[in-house]
Amino acid sequence: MASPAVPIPIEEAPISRWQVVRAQLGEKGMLVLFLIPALLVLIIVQGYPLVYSAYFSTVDWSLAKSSTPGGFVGLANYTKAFTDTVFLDSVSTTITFSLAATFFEMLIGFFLAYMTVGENLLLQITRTILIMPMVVAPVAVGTLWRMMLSARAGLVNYGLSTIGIVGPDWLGNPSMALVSLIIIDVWEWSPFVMIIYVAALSSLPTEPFRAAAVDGASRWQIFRHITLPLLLPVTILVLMFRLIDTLLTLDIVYTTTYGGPGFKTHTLTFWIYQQGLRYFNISYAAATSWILLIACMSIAIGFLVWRGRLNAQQNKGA
Amino acid sequence: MATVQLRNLTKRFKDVYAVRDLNLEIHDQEFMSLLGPSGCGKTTTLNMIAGLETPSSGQIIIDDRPVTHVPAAQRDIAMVFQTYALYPHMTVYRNMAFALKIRKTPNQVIDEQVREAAQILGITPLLERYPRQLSGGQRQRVALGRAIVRNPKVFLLDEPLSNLDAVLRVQMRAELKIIFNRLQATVAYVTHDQAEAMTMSDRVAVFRNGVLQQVDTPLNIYHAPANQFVAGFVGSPPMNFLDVTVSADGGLCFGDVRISAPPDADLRAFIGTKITLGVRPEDVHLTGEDGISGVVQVVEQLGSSTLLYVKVQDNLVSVQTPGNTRLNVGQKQFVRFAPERLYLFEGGDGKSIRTPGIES
Amino acid sequence: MLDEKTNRLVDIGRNTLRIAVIILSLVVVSVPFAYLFLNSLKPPNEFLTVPPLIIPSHFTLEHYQNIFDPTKDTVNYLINSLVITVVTTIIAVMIGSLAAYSLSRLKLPFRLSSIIAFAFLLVRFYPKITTTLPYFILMKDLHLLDTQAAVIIAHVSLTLPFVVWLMLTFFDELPKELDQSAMLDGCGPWQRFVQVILPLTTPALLTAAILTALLSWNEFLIASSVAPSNAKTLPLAVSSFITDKGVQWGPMSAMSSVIVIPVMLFALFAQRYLVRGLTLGAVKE
Repeated sequence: MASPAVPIPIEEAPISRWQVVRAQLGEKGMLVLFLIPALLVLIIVQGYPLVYSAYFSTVDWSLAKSSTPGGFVGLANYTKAFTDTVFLDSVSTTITFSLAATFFEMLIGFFLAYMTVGENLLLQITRTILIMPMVVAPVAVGTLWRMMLSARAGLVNYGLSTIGIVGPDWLGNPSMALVSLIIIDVWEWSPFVMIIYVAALSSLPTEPFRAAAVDGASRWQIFRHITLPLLLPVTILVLMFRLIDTLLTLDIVYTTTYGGPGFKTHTLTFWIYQQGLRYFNISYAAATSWILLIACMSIAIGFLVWRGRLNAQQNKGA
Repeated sequence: MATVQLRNLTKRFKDVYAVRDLNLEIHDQEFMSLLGPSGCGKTTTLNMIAGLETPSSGQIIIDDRPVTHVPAAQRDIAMVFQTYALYPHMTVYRNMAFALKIRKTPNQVIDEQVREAAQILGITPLLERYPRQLSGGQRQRVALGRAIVRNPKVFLLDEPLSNLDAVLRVQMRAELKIIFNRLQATVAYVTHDQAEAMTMSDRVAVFRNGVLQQVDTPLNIYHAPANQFVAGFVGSPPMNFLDVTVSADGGLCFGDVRISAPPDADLRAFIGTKITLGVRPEDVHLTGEDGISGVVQVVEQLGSSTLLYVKVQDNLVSVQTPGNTRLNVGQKQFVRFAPERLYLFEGGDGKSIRTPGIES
Repeated sequence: MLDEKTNRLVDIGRNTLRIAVIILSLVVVSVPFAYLFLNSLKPPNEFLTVPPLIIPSHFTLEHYQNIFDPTKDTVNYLINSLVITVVTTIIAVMIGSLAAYSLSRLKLPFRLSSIIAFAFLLVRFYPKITTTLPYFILMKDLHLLDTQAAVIIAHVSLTLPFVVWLMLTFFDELPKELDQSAMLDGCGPWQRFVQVILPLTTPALLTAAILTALLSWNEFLIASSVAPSNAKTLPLAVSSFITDKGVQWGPMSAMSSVIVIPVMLFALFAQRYLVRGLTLGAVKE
């Protein structure tokens, strides 16, 4: 059986790094090539403007005054923002809007998920209908609700009048405009929270529930001590999505209140939009948009770190 | 078909050696098993032969051609994966034809080869089915068929039977042997199942922690293991190991009792030191009062044989007895080790001092 | 037994609550849509009646005829929207899934693969308003302002994170043995991708395409900034019915319906991996 060992010419040098590189270049090079188009788009369309905008935020430039950027002004645009009462009002408007909308969306979304989870065909159809508000254009949602909330001819006030309540001028009343926006956002985005929780609820492991049932836990105890903790990673994620997205709301503001009445519903994105694309205060808009960006990134990174820690913790425990 | 030579092959992941300084030659038309517990480096070795992993150093030579840095596709080898890795979206026929299509083989040739391979494997009726419509054993055959169609220089098989149930595994074991005999193929077969390695291979290479322990025929691995690890890994039920001290006259002291060493063992260098005595369960016999006394702790009735665990000098010794033996737990028994069947290993690194070997 | 009885009562209570909630939520969601569609078919003089006329006295298509009047630009907007959506979808899905495959299989030094994947993720979360202005100026400098290309390029970059991360999670789930097997069968990366990987992830690819199309079709901010007239898309056209002289309810309803209806149909097909797509792969159904 044993064949005589044939003398083989030994390759020069045991292994040079270059040989390895050359051998893998075909394979790796091709894969790198796959990555390049998307990466180019990312860098040119998102990365470059981002840097450009950071630069704008430190110069003095308004297109209304000059077609080229002015001199370097340091952080003047930023400090200006923090003394600009309209901007500060807009910050507080945005935070109020964001917190309230997120809170109700989480609550309603989770409740709806809990009510509609299941493989039953009727439930699936229900969910399909319920997600419509989030898939249609926000601009359309705005116009839709503009009609619904119209003071005299709107369906909402008509509905209220049938039970004897005189509805307010939802979008025109200074104290109701923001509330209206919150209602619209909740209507539009609760379904998002819902479908994610439905997905999470249906993919929960069954063993802990059986174990708890065998241990004699009540429904509430199971919910409180098993369901909720198991849903925490998803909750963190949904919270992150909703908090950030509500901070950036623009479309429905644009199509319903257009920031009014007065400045009552000037959300940050709308305010920056106005500064930049209406008054062409490029520098000021850039600086304030960077403030918003830093806020969003802090939230995103904060939540991602929280989620990462949680995962690490649970993996350690397992 | 072809030969495979591995020269000083090393694979390092950061500080961990997956394979260390491996020298191994697989002869033409040889069925070589790479045997060892999980994490011993056998799969890494296979992947390096395949070209799926790049060695940190060393050389791979297939059929006198150094291929260490040749891409997997150009090595002309075929691999059967543990999970089969069939293409779920292709029929059995297209799965088998795929490699040939990629290589732009004429359709007529492809058809001939696929049908021939299908016939060898008895899967002709399955050719138009999809993998998800097949049973585990059928998928296994398709995976083999995909390799056979290629008519490669070397077949690499990575635990191909471990996803099958026990009965099918034994059956496929025999079939694989027939098929590869018929193909006169060079095969590298990774397994952790010593029964597969023993029954199918021309030679077995035993690995541990990335280091090759021994390469030899199955019988030599069994009867003349290079060290205690090989001796313990191969054989079922596994070999008994007992710590003994070599006395001045060359006897072996085991607790209070004395066991006579095999006459051909030269133990002069080990007088006064501890060594390990190995004895396979089938070489331990129940005797009358002249043996070493012990108490039966566990009785495992396997049908064809009965395995006893007898407590002897605070050690559990397994004893293989005929299937009709009727004994109860707690019974006192006397055991005797067949002296010519004893294995002796050095105390430190477990290197063999004496093995029974096989009569030539 | 009493316990048995209370349990059954609790069950009945739960089911009743469940049905009530489902019906109520369906009403809350569908009534506004129904109102929109009805309004788009309502004669102009019936809009501002008090109390509002829910069901029009007769249905009319005049608002649709009005917005699609050949003398108006709406047809152009529709074509713009269609072209932008289709081209964006094709490009984003193509380069996005290629990049995802690369990120899933390529081991780059310094964990570069993870860093690049993370960079795509961040695009989802920072305010687009920050890049809108510089992008506007960039397009102005490149003389691409008010072209379909300007919108398409921006939309591709906005939808890439969704495509990349959705596909990434699917590619990561495919056993690496399939790749290895194809590699041994003689396939290079391109052949593996096209012949083995893509056919196995077709449903995910379709979801990515539908999701991309929805996002592009609905997008307002960037389109409104770089495409004010010639390359105007439908969402902008809707907002243009809100003028200083008041709102043109009829045409606006009709236009909104035009935007909404195709999306609703598409959403039915995108259900399967919608959650995974929207959460960029983080939550799996």
